[in-house]
Amino acid sequence: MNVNAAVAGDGASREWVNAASIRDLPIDQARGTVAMGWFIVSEAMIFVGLFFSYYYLGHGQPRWPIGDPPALPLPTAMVAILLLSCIALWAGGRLLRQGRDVSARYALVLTILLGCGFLVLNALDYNSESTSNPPTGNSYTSIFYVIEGVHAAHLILGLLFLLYALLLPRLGPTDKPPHGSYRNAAMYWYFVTAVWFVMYAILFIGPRR
Amino acid sequence: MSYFSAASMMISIFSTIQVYAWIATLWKGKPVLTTSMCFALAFIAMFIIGGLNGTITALIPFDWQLNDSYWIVAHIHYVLVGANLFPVLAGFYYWLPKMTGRMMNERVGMISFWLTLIGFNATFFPMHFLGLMGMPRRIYTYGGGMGWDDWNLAMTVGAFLLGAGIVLSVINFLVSARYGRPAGPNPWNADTLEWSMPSPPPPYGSIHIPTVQSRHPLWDEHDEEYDPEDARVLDRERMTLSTTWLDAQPIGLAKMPEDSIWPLVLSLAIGALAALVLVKSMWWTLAPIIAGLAVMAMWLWPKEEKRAS
Repeated sequence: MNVNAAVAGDGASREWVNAASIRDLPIDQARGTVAMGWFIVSEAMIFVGLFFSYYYLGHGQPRWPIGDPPALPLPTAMVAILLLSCIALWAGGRLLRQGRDVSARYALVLTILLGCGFLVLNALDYNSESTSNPPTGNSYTSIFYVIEGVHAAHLILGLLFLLYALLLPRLGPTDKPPHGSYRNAAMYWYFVTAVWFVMYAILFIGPRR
Repeated sequence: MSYFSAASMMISIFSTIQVYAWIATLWKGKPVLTTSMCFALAFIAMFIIGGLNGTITALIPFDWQLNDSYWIVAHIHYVLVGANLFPVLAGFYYWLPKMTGRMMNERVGMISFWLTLIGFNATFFPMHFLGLMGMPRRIYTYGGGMGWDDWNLAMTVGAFLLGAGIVLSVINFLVSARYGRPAGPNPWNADTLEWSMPSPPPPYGSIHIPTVQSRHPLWDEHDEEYDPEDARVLDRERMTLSTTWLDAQPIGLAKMPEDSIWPLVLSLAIGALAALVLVKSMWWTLAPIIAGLAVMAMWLWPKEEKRAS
């Protein structure tokens, strides 16, 4: 793989001079990971915009949130569930790197189940909150449920990524795309988890300072 | 409101950086006044007008007066038509010879350019005055004697000139694509890599992956395709080279997408999604969403290796 730039015959033009052809280079495994990184950055901008809207709508309001701040117990349980799911996913990644493909798949199943548990709690939270504060109530409830709903949609997408990785014949490095499906799906799951942590701080803890 | 105004003003900062970048590019270069360059210059001028009348629209007291008037129509068209139509026409005149292998007619191109420029300004510049005179946007007719008649007449004449200019260019494209004089690989004596290929270029591009040593690859001494040992040929599958981000050292091979029906099916699903949202049958939108996800899953599913050799 010694494909280095070197000075060729006439000295003016620099060329790759190498014995081996570029045909012998390994298959690049990182492309999907780089793409997932950019995807996550652009997705993060959606949430930056939503949080900006949250503060923008609150700016100049005598009370923000309008009405009581949202209840804490369920969202706290959801933080715990996502934390557990991330630990399972991270452990699965370690197992995969040790070549234990089947164990990594069990970790994936566990992560998916915990993610489904999060969605159930999210629905319960929505039901209990929306009876007293319906989404159409005022600008606060409107932006609150938009952020929660957009996050839930992203979490469902993350679950679908994990499910897809689970169904794929190979989780690790491959000759043909998708390469490193476990790692890429896991990156997205860490991202939706991190967004929930930020949401927990801004939407649930923030109003109680 | 102050937030709103500041956020609108922010746009002008980045647009201004763009405009100065374009002017600096022209300043450093030696512009040749071909039809393509004329369209590009007109684009910068139109974009500056659209930017200036947009910047003052961002001022709340001014916007209070002119919102929902023809001033806004003028602004949006100077930005959108100025920034989209003119560069697209410039791009057509510049790159169609590369695609078809034949030159456009420059004389017809210049007539089309002047018709388009004069027609565009005759159509959209009077809208500023109409907006200041209080003509509201989104109306299909208006009563006579409001004092708007003359400018509207001028706009109608301008619209026909603009249409004639664009039709002339379309005719020029169609006729030149068949009967134009052969373009050769580099009719503009341009410096970028696409002009080292024959016109039209072969579907695979260059056989030897080119190396670039300066900002003007075709003007320097370096031969981009110099590769006597065929070390930079990728003829096994649809592949391209992966390199490091900053100094472009080759690090691996990247598989490129094969021919597939699934992208078409996916775009049909997205079209169905948009149509269903338009007719507001929200529950039905779940069908194209699920179908789209399924199609993406099929599209990305690892395929059996096809060995070409």
